[in-house]
Amino acid sequence: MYRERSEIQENSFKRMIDHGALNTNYGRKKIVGPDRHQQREQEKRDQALEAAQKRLEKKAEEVRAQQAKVVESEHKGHGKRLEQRQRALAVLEKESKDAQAQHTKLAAHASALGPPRERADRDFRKQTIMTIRTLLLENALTSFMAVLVGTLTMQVSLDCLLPLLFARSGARMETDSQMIYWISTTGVSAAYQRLLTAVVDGLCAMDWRDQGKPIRVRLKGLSP
Amino acid sequence: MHLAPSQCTLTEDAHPPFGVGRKLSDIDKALLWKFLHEDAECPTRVLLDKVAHRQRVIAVSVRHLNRLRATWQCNRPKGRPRHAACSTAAGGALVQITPHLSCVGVHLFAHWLDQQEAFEPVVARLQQAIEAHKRAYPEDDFALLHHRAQTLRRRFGALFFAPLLGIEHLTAFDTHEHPLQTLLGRGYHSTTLSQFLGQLERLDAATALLPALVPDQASQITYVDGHMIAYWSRTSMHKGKITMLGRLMAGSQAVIAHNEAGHALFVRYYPPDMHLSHIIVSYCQQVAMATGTPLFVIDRAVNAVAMAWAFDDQGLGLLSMLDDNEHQGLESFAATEVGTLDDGTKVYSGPWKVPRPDDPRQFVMVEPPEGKTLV
Repeated sequence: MYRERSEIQENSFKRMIDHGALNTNYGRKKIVGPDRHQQREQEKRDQALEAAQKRLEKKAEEVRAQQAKVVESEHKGHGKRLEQRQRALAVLEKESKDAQAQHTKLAAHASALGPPRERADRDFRKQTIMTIRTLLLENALTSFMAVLVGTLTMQVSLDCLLPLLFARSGARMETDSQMIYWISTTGVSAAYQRLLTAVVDGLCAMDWRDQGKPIRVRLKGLSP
Repeated sequence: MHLAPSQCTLTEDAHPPFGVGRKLSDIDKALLWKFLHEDAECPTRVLLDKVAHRQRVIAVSVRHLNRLRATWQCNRPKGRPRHAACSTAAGGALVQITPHLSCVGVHLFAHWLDQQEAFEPVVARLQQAIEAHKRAYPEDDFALLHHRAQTLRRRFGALFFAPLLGIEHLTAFDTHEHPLQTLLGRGYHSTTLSQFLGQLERLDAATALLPALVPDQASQITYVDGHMIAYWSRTSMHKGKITMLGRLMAGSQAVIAHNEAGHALFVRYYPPDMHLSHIIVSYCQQVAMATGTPLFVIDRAVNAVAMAWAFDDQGLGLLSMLDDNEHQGLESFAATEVGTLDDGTKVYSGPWKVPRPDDPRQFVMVEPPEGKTLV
């Protein structure tokens, strides 16, 4: 089921880019709104600043607690323990100073983005209409191919049929009883002529009509 | 299509009096009359060219000559000359012949679409949108609100067939040769179609046309994928993962849904800076409402456990694929073989080998005869 995704979607996108103008932009209108890139960046920096603030407060608390311990050791006349506590206090004071520096740096970073800016988004209304056009065209082509392939004995793809049948020139004659299309075969290789003959037979077998008149398809300039 | 017949039948003998005018001499007027006698529906600009070929310089404007033609009653209808195909009834059998017809296949395809009445739902929905717009904005007045069904069909048809005629941008209708005349019975300039598209935009026709994509038969599964299109602009715009020549580009992100038969069902555009995972749940809800199909197959962009929970909360089903770094093949799962596909691929099913209470997803492992396992 999942493996069919490539054919159903990704290959379909490629086909629509090729013959459905899926990659074409329609409409130039823009809608100006808040700059989401800036908002996201600001949010990230604010979170970092908040974390730095918490870390700074925690370090300050630890320094205060360690200072109390040092004062206690001095009062009690500790020797070795006082020395250990003073060393730990020095380490904590350094860490606190680092946290302060980091906080200052992040605060500057957070305010560096400046006031809220604006950025534009495309107005997608025209683009959506034209994409629906493309999707309707692709759906119609798929259905047409399904009907045509049902009348053929050989395999033929839409990619092959587009230049061979759709883009080819010819002639048309309408009489009071039928409508005849001729497809020019100029410059078509023998292999493609065989394919085109089969396609034309398939088209004739589809038995379609225009205003009640049967539509016939013939090849023009086919070498004997 | 036939032109209206000329207002007079010109005969050289029955020419009007050629008085000497301030700008045109009697010889100039006689020469013009002769050319008009040869081709009464000749456009005035072409008439001037013909005179210039005779080494005569007539220093008057096209408008001046048009007034003269009106006086002589030899004026032709407004607009470009229609390239009417030969349409003489020959012995009552031949009605019309077009000796050179480009894009024959597109004409045949158009006949097939006519037979299937493929444009009828589109035109009906556009007419409904027009009526709704008229009710909502009674003071609005633009051309589309007065179009007949036939005009809507032709103009939408011109937009519809454009890619098959090699026309991607609407401006190419003015610069490329196209067979709209023989295809739709009417040629269009890009300005007409641009105005039509702009007026469709005013109607919010996209909302009206979306249901036209949904087929009558409901499907079992809906496939969803995104497609990014780059956009060039000098304006500061939101950008996404559209890279071109090493730059991040502005653009648009189309999220398109197909059914298992490959028919497109739904499309919605999003700005390119929004990741699919942030929009997919609401998008799938909309698709499920439009199509009635609650089971979705989406690529690896939305394979997180949290996303599976979000889909489950909305009563939707999600089938996705794990990233390769999330498992070590079959050994990561308590896998049980459930079958073998036609190509020899073995299929297993089962949960994680080491139970994860917060991950109740069901896994299917596919192991081709050679190659990596897909989960």
